Order: sequence, then C-alpha cells, then structure tokens
Amino acid sequence: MENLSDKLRSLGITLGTGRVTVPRAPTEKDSIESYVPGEPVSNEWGEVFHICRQYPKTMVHGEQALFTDMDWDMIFRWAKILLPSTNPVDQMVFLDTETTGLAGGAGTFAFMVGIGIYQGSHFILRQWFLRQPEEEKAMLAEIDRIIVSHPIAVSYNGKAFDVPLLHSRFILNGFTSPFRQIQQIDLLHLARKLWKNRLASRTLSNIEQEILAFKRSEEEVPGWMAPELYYDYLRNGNAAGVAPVFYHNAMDIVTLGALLMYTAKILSAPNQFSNLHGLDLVALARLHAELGEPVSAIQLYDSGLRSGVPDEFYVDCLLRQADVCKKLGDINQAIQYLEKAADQQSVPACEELAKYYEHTERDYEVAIRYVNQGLEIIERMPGKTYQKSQLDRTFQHRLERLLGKWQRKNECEKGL
Amino acid sequence: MATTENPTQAKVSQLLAQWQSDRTLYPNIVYWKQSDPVAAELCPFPEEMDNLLAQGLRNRGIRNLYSHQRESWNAVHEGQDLVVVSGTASGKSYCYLLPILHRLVHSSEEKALLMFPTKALSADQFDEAREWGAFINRSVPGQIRPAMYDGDTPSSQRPAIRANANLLFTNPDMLHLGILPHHTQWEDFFRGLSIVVIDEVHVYRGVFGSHVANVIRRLRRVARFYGRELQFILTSATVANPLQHGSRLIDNPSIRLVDRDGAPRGERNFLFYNPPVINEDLGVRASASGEAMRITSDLFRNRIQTILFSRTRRGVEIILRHLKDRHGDTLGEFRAYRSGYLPEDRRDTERNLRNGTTRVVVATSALELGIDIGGLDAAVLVGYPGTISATLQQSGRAGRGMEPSCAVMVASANPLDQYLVQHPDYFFGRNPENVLIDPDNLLILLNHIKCAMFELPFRKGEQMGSLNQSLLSALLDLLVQSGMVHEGVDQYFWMDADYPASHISLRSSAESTILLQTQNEGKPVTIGEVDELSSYWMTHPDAVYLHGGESYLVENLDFEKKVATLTPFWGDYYTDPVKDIKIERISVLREKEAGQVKISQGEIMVHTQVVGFRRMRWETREIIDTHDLLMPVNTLRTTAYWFQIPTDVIDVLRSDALWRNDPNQYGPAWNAIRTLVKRRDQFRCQLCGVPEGGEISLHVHHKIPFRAFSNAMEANRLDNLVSLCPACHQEAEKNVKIRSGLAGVQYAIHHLSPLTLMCDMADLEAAHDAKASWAAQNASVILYELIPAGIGYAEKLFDTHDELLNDAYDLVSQCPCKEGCPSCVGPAGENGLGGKAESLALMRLLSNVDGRNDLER
Repeated sequence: MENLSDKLRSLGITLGTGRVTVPRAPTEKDSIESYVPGEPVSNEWGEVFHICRQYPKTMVHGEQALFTDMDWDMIFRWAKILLPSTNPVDQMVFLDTETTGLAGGAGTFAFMVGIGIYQGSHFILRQWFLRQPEEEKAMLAEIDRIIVSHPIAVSYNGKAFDVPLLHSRFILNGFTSPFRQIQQIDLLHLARKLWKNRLASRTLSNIEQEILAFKRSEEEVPGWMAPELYYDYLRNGNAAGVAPVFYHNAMDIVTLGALLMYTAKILSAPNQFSNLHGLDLVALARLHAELGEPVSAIQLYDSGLRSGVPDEFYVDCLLRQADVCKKLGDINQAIQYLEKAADQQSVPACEELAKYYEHTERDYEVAIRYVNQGLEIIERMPGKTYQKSQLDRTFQHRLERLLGKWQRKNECEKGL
Repeated sequence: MATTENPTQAKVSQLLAQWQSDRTLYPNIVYWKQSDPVAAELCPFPEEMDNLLAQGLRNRGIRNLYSHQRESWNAVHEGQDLVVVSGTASGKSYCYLLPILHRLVHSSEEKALLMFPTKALSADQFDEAREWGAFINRSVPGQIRPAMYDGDTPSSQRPAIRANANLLFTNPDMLHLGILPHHTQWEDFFRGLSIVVIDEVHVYRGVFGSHVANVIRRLRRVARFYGRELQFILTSATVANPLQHGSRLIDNPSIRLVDRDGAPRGERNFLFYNPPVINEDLGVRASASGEAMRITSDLFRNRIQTILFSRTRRGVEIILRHLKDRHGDTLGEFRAYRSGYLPEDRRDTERNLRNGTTRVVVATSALELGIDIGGLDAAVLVGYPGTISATLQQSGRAGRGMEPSCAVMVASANPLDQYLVQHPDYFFGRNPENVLIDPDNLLILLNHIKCAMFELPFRKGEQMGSLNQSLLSALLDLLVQSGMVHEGVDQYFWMDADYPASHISLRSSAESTILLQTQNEGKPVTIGEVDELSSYWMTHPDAVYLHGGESYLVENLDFEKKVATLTPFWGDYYTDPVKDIKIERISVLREKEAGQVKISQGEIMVHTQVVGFRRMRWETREIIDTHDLLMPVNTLRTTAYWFQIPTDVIDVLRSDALWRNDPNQYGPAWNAIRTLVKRRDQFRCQLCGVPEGGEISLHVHHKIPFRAFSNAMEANRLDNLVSLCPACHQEAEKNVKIRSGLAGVQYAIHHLSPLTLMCDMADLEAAHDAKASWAAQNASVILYELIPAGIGYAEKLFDTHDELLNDAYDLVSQCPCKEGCPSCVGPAGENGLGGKAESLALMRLLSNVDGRNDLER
C-alpha cells in the first residue's frame, strides 16, 4: 500500500523544508531551566515557566534614568487617555510579546510575554515562556491578574500587534479578555511623530541607540528571528537557541520604560533639555500645537530654528509657525514668518501673503507683488507637472482678479 | 380576441404567428417547444411571521407567498438545512430573507451570514436587504444591520462592521482569507451566528466547489468553537443533483429539497434556430450573431423587451453597435451588460430594465446569475451556452408573471450546438448536468487542514465533519513530520511563520500561475492568467491563444518571470499542440464488466510533453503545417476512467473490410521520396526486418495517413514514412483502422461528457491506444481529469459509461456527414481517415444493448 506522503509527493507536494530530523530525546541539560534562572509557576490552569527580575528605579539605561518625576499631563493628552487621579505610573504595564509569527491571525500565539511594572523603588520585570504551547492558559491567567490592576499598556506597536494578539489568545482559550477595556500608550506612534525627519529608522532598537544611547550586549538576537528559534526549540527540545530571546524581550521592556520617561519629559518640559536637536524641537513644537499649546509651540519653533534645521525643513517650519500665530491672533507675527518664508521662495507663503494683503489690508499693489513673485517661482520650478500647471492657473486667476480690483480702486480714487 | 388580451401577450403571440408565415425565417426554426401557462401556487403568510414583515410585503403589493417560499419558511422554522431550486425570477431571495429577517427582528443577538459567488450578485441582494432593514428599523431602530464585507470594503469601515453587523454579505474568498483566519475579531458575530445562506450553489463546482466545501467545514468548526451549530439555506439553479451537491457542499447528508416552484408562468415558447446554409459546397451556415440580430430586431420593432446573450464580451459590443446602427438609439433603449462595466453602470442598466426604458439588453453570462432585472418578454441566445443548466437560466430570463414569452437559441457552427439543434429531444429530454465536487481531494483538503489548524489547534481525535478520521490524523502526522505543525500533549499547533490561507486561492488548484500580458500604449497589461502547467500547451511560444473572444499570438513564455507575452492576432488559423503523452496506471479503484467490455476507474500518472504544434485553418480545420517545439515534461497524478476493448472485438474489426483504399495521388516527387525512405531504412521492413529482393518489394507506409494532410509535402515528411513489407503493411493499415475507430469513439465521448458533468471540456483529457499501457496492452480509450488527484468526474463517467456510449453512438450515427466530421468523430487527423464507419462498428460491438447489435448486423 502506497503511503500518504509518497502519494502527496507524486501529486507534486513537498511538505516543509525537509530538514526535520528525528530529535534525540531532550535531556535535563537542554531544558530552559539550565539556561535561564527562572522556574515554573502554577495556577489552576497548569504550569508555565516564569522569571522575575528587579531593576532599581534609579538605574540609568543608556543615558536615561528608569524613573523621573514629571508632569504626565502632555503625554496622556497625546495618548487621549484621561490622566488618573492617583500616580499614573502605578497603573502602567509595559508590554512586549515574542510570537510564533509576525503576520498575526488566529494561528499566531505569544510564546513569551514580558511585562514590566513600577513597584515601590523598583521596576519589576516578569517574563513567561511556554515550554509547551499548552502552557498558554496558565500564562494568560498570570497576565490577566496584572492587567486588571494596571489598565494602561505602554508598548511599541502594541496597538496594532501585541494587544490584539493577546486579546485574541484570551478568546481562543475561552477566557474573558482583560484587553477589551485596555488603554494604550503606543510609543511607536509617538516616535514616528518625534523622529520622522531625523532618524532613518524608527525601530525600537534604533531609537534605543540613537536617543537613549544604549547598546545591547552580545546576547541580543533580533526579534524577527524569534519565531524560528522557538520552532527549533519545540522540534528538538533544546533551549539553548531560544534562551537569548529572554534577554531581547527584557531589554525591549526596560527600553520601553526609559523611553516613556524620556518622551514624556521632553513633551512636558522641553526647556529642561539643553541639547535637543533642532528637528526634535520642531517636532515637539508641532505636537504642542496639535495638543492646543500654541504659546509653547511658538517658543519651541523659535528654539528649533535657532538650533538649526536642514534647509528642506526650514520653510515648512516658518509656515507652520505662522499658522500657529494666526490661531493665536498675532497676525503681525504671522506676517513676519510668512515674509521670511517668501524670501525663501515659498509659493504657499506668497499665496498667504497675497490673500492677506488682498482681503485684510486691501493693499492690492502689495498683493499683486506677491502673486507675481509666486508666479516667478512657479515658472522656475523644474519639470512640467500637473501640479505646476494647476498652481500656475490659480495664481493667474488671482492675478486677474487683483488687477481688476486694483483698477476699480484707482478709478474710484480718481473719481473722488 | 386580441383586444381582450393584455398588450404583451398580443405582441409575443402576434410576432410568433408572423414568424410562422415568414418563408425566409420559419424553415430555420428547427424546433418549437411550447409549454402551457402554469398558475401560481399561493399560500397565506405564515401565522407566526412578524407583522412588520407582513406589512413590508403588503407595501410591495405582495399578499401571499409562493408555495416554495412558504415551504422554505417552514423548513427554516423546523431547523432543517435546505436547498431551494426554483426558476429565474421566482422570488428565490424571499426563501431566505423572510425567515432571517424574522429571526433578527426577534433577537438582537442573532446574526446571519450570506455568501454569494460574485460581488455583483451580493451587491444586488444587499440593496434589497438594505431596503428591508430601513423599513424595519423605522419601527425598531437599529435592529437590522446589513453590511457588505468583501475585498472592496475600506479598512476604515471594517472594525465597525465586525462589531455591529447582524446581516453580513460576503463571498467565499473573503470568508476564507479575511474572516476565518481572524475569527477572534469576529467574536461577537460568531457568538450570535446561527444561519448561513449560500446562494447559487451550482456555481461551486469542480475545484472551486471543493475548496468552498472545505471553507464551510472550517466555518462550522469555528462556529462550534463559539458554541454555535449552523443552519444552512442553499439556493441552486436547475441541476441534476441539487440534493447530493448541497449535501456534499455543507457536509450534511440529510438536507431538505424545496423544488416545487410556485411562481406563475405564462405560456413559454422555446425555439431552436439553425442559421440557413449559405454555401452548399462548404456547408457554411449564416453567422449565429447575424441571425440573432435579425430576430432581435423583429422583437424590438414589436416592442417586446428582450435580452440577448452573447458568449463573449467582444460579441456583446459588436452586437450592441450593430443594433444601435440599425435602429438608432436616442433614448437608451439598447444597453450592454457584462463584466468590465462599472457597478454604477450596471445598477443603472438594471433599473432601466425594470422600469422599461431599456428595451434590449445585450449581455454575457454575467446576467445569468440571479441579478434582479425583473422578467423580460424574450431571450435570444447566441450559441449554446455550454450547459443545459445555463441554457435554462438564460432562457428563463424571458417570462413575467402569466404573460407569454419566447426564448430563441440560435445555434453556432460549434459541434455541440449543431448536435443539439439536430437533437432537440436530447436537450429537452435529459436531466441537466451533475454538479460534482470532491472535498476530500487530497491537495485541496491538505491546504484547508492547514488553514483550519491555523484557526484553531486540532485536538487529538477531533472529527472534522464527515472527513475520514484516519485520513485526517494521517495528514496531521504528515504535517508534524514536515515541521509545519507541532504535536503537543493533546493538540496539534500551527508552527510556521506562513499564514496558510494567503497562499491558497479558492479558484484554482494550481500553486503557480503565469500572467498573460499584452501591450497597451507601451505598457504591459495583464488580461488574465493560466496555471503554469496549462501554459505548456495553451500559451507556448507561437501559440494562438483565445481570451475573452479575442485571438492573441504568444510571443514569449517566460517561466522565471511567470509571464506570457501576447500580441493581438487576426490570422485565419489557430494552433493545436502536439503532445507526447505517456500514461502509467497506479491503481484500479473500481472495475466492472459491461457485456464484453471491462470498464475501470483508477489512478494514473500522466507524463505530458508538448513536442510541437500544428497550425490549423479556422474555417475548414485543415492542417496548414506542423512545427517542432520542446516544452518541459509535465507530470500529473489524477483519476481516470477507461474501458478496454476485448481482443475478439478487435478481431471482428480486423476481419471486416470496412474501408476501401482509394488510390492516392502521392505527389510529384513520390518515387524519389520513396527511394530515399527505403535507403534510409536500409531496404528492410522496419517491423519484421525482412530485406527487399526476390518476391518481396517493400512498401513505403504513411504513419499518419496521407489524406489527413492538406498537401503532399507535409504528408511526405520523412519522419512520417516508414518502409514495410506487404504483410506488415497490411497489418499496419488494419491498425490504422482500429486506431481511427478508437480515436473516433474517444472524440465523441470526450465531447459529450459535458452533457453529463457540469464541467468544461478543458477539465478532461482523453487518449486512446491500441496497446494501452494502462490496460495491459489491450486497446483502450481513457478519459482523465486534468485536476491533480481528480474531483469526481472520472467516478461519474464510470457510473454513466453505458449512457455515454449510447449517446456517442446516437451522435455519430445520426450525424448527416459521410466520413466523419468535427461534429461527430472529429476532424480528419493523425489517427486515420474520417473514421466514422470504424467508430460506429466499434461502438456497436462495445454496446451493452443486444438489440442494437441485432439491428445493425
């Protein structure tokens, strides 16, 4: 009788990579306990491997202390979370998962979950690891206890990945998910806002190096390798390969703590930092403007421009700054910024100025001057793009109208 | 009296009478079937039906239900799974919509899933559900929350749909890719899901249907996880086996059939129209589309609202243009409807059809499915749509209420068309096709086991519907060995970075496809795709490829980039690949004796290599020339049905001198060529080895008969010639005769097989051999499936062998041709002369019917 795998092979199917060999029976030496100083914990759902570490709050991670006293208002406003009346830090859980796949979906699970909380004078880091996938229930039960008393999750891409994934695992295990009600501070989104223009990559490891000046030890393995390392562990029972993932996960969480402190601090008290990059100040200015803090936003733009920003961002800053001034009602200041921008050949600045002189000052000659300046700049723009011709058309249109108004005004004045 | 009749009745009847007296038209009507009007079978609204629904129906002018709607209501209320078979425009959607709305009105937790095979169809039904929802929500705000969830749904809207919808419209592809693998996001939906509608189940056939059956297995499994057992309502067009098909599709052997159609029908006229012969010598008939336009013009002039079905999108446009040119069109009276039009345009056409502004719509089968355009008065079909079921659906578009209607099928020159117009009883007398699926096709099954495991780990010993438990655990073990799956203590876990559903397309069994690209203003445009294995013979370099009714010439086939480059082509020929096929038998699954014939069904391995192609003239199907080509060998494991011809039958054939060799004119250089061949063969018979000399003078034999070629040059190619002694030559000619009989039988049954199976000719391949490797060196004809591992066609063919052979006999014996033609035993080709007499003789001997033997002897 032909066996199933021969039959499938003759149908053109080869399953897997073919590198699977019959594993030798794992020995005690191979177990996770021989590599990681943790031990199984048990609850009504069974056992799961667990390790707990403590870091003093005063520890400095890279250049950033793990805890700083500060005003939490700004970052909570940014995250659109109501600031708790008690100490916010007590409600936070720092969360990162290592999973069996990076695409998500019901078949992906977290084989390791790391959670950090502040407790007394320490930052407590707990990690759970599934020696067998069946240990998941026990792990989730452990996590559940912490999440319900810490309803604010701080993560890096947790909104799109870690939180929905864990939520899904609770459902799949028939549990009520504590993540239904969770509030989130996703630092990936904040990092994008802050460092989009300055850093080529906003991965956690890059931010950690560039912003916190922290360098991981040689134990580090990149996160994308985690799934394969875990498959190998399950296949051959040897934990040597998967053990470094504990270090990777732990560092991700410690970095999350330090990064939250750093970002919350530069958001709430940027002037306490003497050496912020011009682009960071400008990014902070923009955030302040978005969060309804125009006064500090203008100051931040000013100090950003004083520190210097690359040319390609300069005009944009001026335009944004003018915008904030307008919102504050300081038209004169806004005009000054726009004029600076117009000097830098900014078409939108010319347009804004032309509008201002046409409608507010009714000084048609100045308005016409700005329209003409705009037209010259458009003319010099390279290429023959659709956008260029559209711009040209609107400016021509404005020019015609202004010329008409100017003529009528002149005639009126003559008539008088 | 005409004056007392309603206007349409007068119009259709008058025009039919007018046709009867039209001497240029009436003789072409080869068959006229008139069916009497049937009154509606009405039932009162169910007592338990919510008052809101009754009110909504009354607002639409509906005071009763048709019997099939009422029966469906009852079945749903009794908790049964059911399949509803009723005609076009018979109010099929109320069969599911009413009971579902009733449930949703009464429970806020309840959810329903409605699955449609195409987006157009779900959009149509969605509109109706929305209207009902709006009506009900006026009394019970927010109670009915219909939503469409398909590939076009913007991702910003998806979370809200997942959280809120209780009447979800989707398609199987979305269920497979977007919903099931992410079922935890649909937790609330699944916790309330109790009823699933699968509309138009006959579309789920072959590979597609086998995939969908597995998607439904997965759906049940996920629903069960959330504590729900699902109830299914299926609808189907008229097919031979709705119950069997429905049962297999949803994996429930006991479903209820609701097929007593209670909708009223007026007098129906079904006409078969064969275009007149315009060239007696060549037997060429007037074009089907030209004749269809003429008929449509008559209908239009008589103000009879008409739908005209063309088989190709291009045909639609050409016919539309001609009609507009002929009649002028200022009011939008002529419209086209086909895929490729924007949904808004289609909606607009549907509306205009319903309100009567549009008087003639020219459509492809895109309108065949249950899109609601109301009833029309007449339907004109250009060519046989390929299946009886589709013909019934298209012609069923004609007929509204009790008014008389007519449908005209205009035959094309296609063999099957010609056969059917010459045998109308055959069409009306037989069942529509069987819809076949095989959910346990190993390749398809394996893919869905992976998907199912991704969705929920398999518990050890878990059952998956009717799937054989030991097969399931064998597949699971195999996946464990492959490393894609981890075997835990009591469960199997998916353990691969891949997301299995994303690699699996429900619409094909192929893992790898070749894109068909053509140039448009210098940019490559993809017009379609073929699976890689088919590309060897369909889109080899220099092949003429037909797509959407257009001809293209293949310029290049790039396996690395997976692209075939095509260019539009207007030549008068097509290409026919020359394949070298080797068949190995793996196993015999079933065997039976019918008379003297042994019939088998089994597994085979087919090694196919395209070694060349022939260019054939369109009009006459004659061979222009042959080119060599070497494509990679393709190996296919599949199931087949074959029958073996006993040696005594062969002996009878051998002894019968059924053919006479007319002297051939072998061409001017024949003597020189003959000498060349003999010299090449070292003046020895190439079969028995006897040398020339003495009494023996060698013959030079055409391996492929001379008359199969259009010119002597081709026939006399050296590789077609071989030296044989007279005795061996006689044997060889006999073998040619036997082979030509085998070839004719093969051709006929292959071409008729779509009448039994709802499949495309392209799903099956046929072969024959006088010394068949798969039949212990006996003569045999074999039909095998081109779907890896097969999907059940071979099994069905095995079961219907007698029917198939009898049909083939009728087809060939009743064909008016003399020596065989493309409408019966196939074009003269490499297998012999016409072959008609040989085929008939063979079939007579094979036939199970003794009377027939007597009759002919």
